[in-house]
Amino acid sequence: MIFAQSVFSPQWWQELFRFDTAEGSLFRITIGAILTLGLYSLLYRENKFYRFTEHVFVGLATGFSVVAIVKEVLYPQWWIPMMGTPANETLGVEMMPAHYLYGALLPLACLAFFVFSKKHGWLSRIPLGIIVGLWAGQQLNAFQNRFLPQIADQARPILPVGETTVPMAINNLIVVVTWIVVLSYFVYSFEQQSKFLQRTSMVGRWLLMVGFGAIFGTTMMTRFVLFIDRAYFLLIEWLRLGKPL
Amino acid sequence: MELFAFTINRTPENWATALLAAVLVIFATSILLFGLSRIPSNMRRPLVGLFVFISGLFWILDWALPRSRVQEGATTSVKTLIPIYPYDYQEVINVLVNVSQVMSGIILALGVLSILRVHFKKVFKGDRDAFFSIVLLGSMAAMIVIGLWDWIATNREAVGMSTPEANETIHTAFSIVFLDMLQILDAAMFSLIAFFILSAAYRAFRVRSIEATIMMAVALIVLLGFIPLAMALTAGLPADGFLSNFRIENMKTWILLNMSTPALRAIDLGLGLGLLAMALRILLGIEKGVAVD
Amino acid sequence: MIQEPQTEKNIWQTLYAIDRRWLYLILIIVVSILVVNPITVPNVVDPAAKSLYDYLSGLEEGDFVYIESDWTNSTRGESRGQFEALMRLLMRKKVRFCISTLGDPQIPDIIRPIINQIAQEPGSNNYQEGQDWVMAGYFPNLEAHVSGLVNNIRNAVKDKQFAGKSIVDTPVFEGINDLSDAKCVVVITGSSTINLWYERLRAKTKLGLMCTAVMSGENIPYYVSRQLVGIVIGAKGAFDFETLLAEEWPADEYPDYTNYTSGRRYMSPLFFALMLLILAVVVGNIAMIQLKKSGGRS
Repeated sequence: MIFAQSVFSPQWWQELFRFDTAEGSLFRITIGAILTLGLYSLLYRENKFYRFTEHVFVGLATGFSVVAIVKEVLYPQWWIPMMGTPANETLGVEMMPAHYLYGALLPLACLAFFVFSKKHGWLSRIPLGIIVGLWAGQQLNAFQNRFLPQIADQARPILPVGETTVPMAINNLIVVVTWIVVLSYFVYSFEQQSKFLQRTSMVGRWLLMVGFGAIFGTTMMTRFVLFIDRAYFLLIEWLRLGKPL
Repeated sequence: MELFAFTINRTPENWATALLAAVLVIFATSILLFGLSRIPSNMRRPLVGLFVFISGLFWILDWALPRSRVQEGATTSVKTLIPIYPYDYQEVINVLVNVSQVMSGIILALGVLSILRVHFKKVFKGDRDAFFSIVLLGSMAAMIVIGLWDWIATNREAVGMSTPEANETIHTAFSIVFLDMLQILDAAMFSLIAFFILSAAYRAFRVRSIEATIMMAVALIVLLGFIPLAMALTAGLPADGFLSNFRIENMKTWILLNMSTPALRAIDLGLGLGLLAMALRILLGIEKGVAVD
Repeated sequence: MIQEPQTEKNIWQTLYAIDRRWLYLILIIVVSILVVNPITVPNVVDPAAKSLYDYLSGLEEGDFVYIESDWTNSTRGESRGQFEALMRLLMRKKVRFCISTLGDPQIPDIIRPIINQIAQEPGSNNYQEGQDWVMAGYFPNLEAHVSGLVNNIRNAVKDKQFAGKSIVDTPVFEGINDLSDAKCVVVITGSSTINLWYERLRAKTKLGLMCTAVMSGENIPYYVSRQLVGIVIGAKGAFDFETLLAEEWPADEYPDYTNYTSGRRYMSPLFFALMLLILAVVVGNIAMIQLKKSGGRS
């Protein structure tokens, strides 16, 4: 079943060579498709076409990170607060005063570049220390809101009393035991000399593999769907070999 | 809104004053930091430690301070009000977030710098791979120029100094390099992993130990449990009652909720406790490598 | 007599040391055939996805939902289907929504055309931007944005405009003075921006998650502890949402409604690709065992 608009039809080629630059045009899709094929050529073997696309990719990605730093961080979060903005009635923007003390951030952050200097290398630890300190300060909040509800949920009724039915109690018991046993695997603080601890930590390792198995399974799904989506992009959106969604 | 007393009210005319004030601050800080480089070496450690501790303290206060609900007209908002300090503590947090992002942004530039160093070296030494380095540097430069130009054009449009029609070329150029090149390459690069997983599964996923067997069995059940066609295998079993437990989708759900969840939680908790301990060690200045060698 | 085990060994040896490019080729062929000619498959809906669907489907006309859409083309295969199904549900239920994004400044431009296209479909009640939904757009600062929304939702998005006026003055934000007035926050993401919501939401409203399958392992524990009202996992989750849409608006009663898109479309290639993977593991293991038996190792 070949589609009328497909790559085997003259219309496809006519459309391509119109060099239409509107978003979603065949010409633009072709650019992306060629780059995709460039990366996929690695599957056959390492080659120049692949290396070319790979370097284009790294270059674009690095370049975009510079652009993103300027337009999303330095300008809105440093320059604008430092310089303020005058009121603009036509746009309905209120005046924002200039907090010129923000200027101090620039030399402070630039201390990081001393990392290349032997003599003053220690100065680069000040900006890094500030960032690490800010991160560390957030951990209390993170622990309370992310992990405590998880621990609380581990406290489950394991006796079939009241509303808890027998299957529920068994499930809960499994949940609680799995948790404790896997935790015991992570006891590194002292040597696990007792036979009991050695056994539980062995079982813990097995149960850990259950978790890893689940993660492995879902990871494969994501990667395959990404490839299927790329195949859709190449075969349907670019070559138009089948019915689109 | 006024966090600092040190502000200048802006009008369209006084931009030079604001800029001058900022430059003076930059200059003064530079001198101050230059002074720091002269302090005796036994003072360096406590100094860095102090910076670390104070930055952490701001967030700890945010966590510890009580919040109150404030009704202003139609809007309810939550504010962190403390005695003596007349403003909402959230304002401090907003500044803090700016500080951390600006700092990390500039430090990220270090990474870009080292990429530039490596590739410029290759180009000037006439390395065998010099061509690819030129490609990399070229596409990087193109992205930076097009990206910033497009951004400036957009900003000018926002204040009415230009029109989208006048900037059509640059907008199109940016959307080509971003949407049709970078984004597509990103997706293609990550989809390549599917192939490597397939090849690794064939070569390395072997039933050699109990652990590997368990992992493989679970991965298999989870995979099949997510795939509608595979569910058809056990669709013959009743939907209710004891036998329904052996339907593949129910086995998958049971494993995910009752086995992998507590196992992953235990890992998470171990990780969380580790991070918490490390955070405290960092704040107190006893973690090696931050303030202490 | 000697030759027979010799040939058998050779088969397993060949299989054991097969060039990986043959595997790649088989995968490409299998996926290509099924992408061009997909097979329609039946579905059994995952309870975690149904949980989110039921909650959203139970909302009343005029309720408000806050959406944070963080996906880009790099996770399009999974996120787009989820996003489209969510939009269809909310529009058919006439639930108001506001969308913001954290991951990337281009996201609003990627998703706006999708929303507008779905709004034109039959059953979508001709949803209008500024009337039934608004785009709060891109926020560069994760921390400040999420904390800001939780502390004071109107203040956090008041600078964003639609047709010359602030989006909080549009009918969409009528009666929404605090995040607790929203019935739910739904996060559609391919990255870990959801962690910030766990840390900062302070149980003000319900939280729903639509994520890529690779993220599901780490996030299912939050569903079990009820920090999430539901979790929609990968392309299968999108298919679940599509199936539930088709159950609520069946094709024989609503013939011109679109319920199924990429979720169902990607299911059959995914199934055969994964079957190939499982087959590869099985063959690899049998080859190993056979080689061990005959005492030869490659």
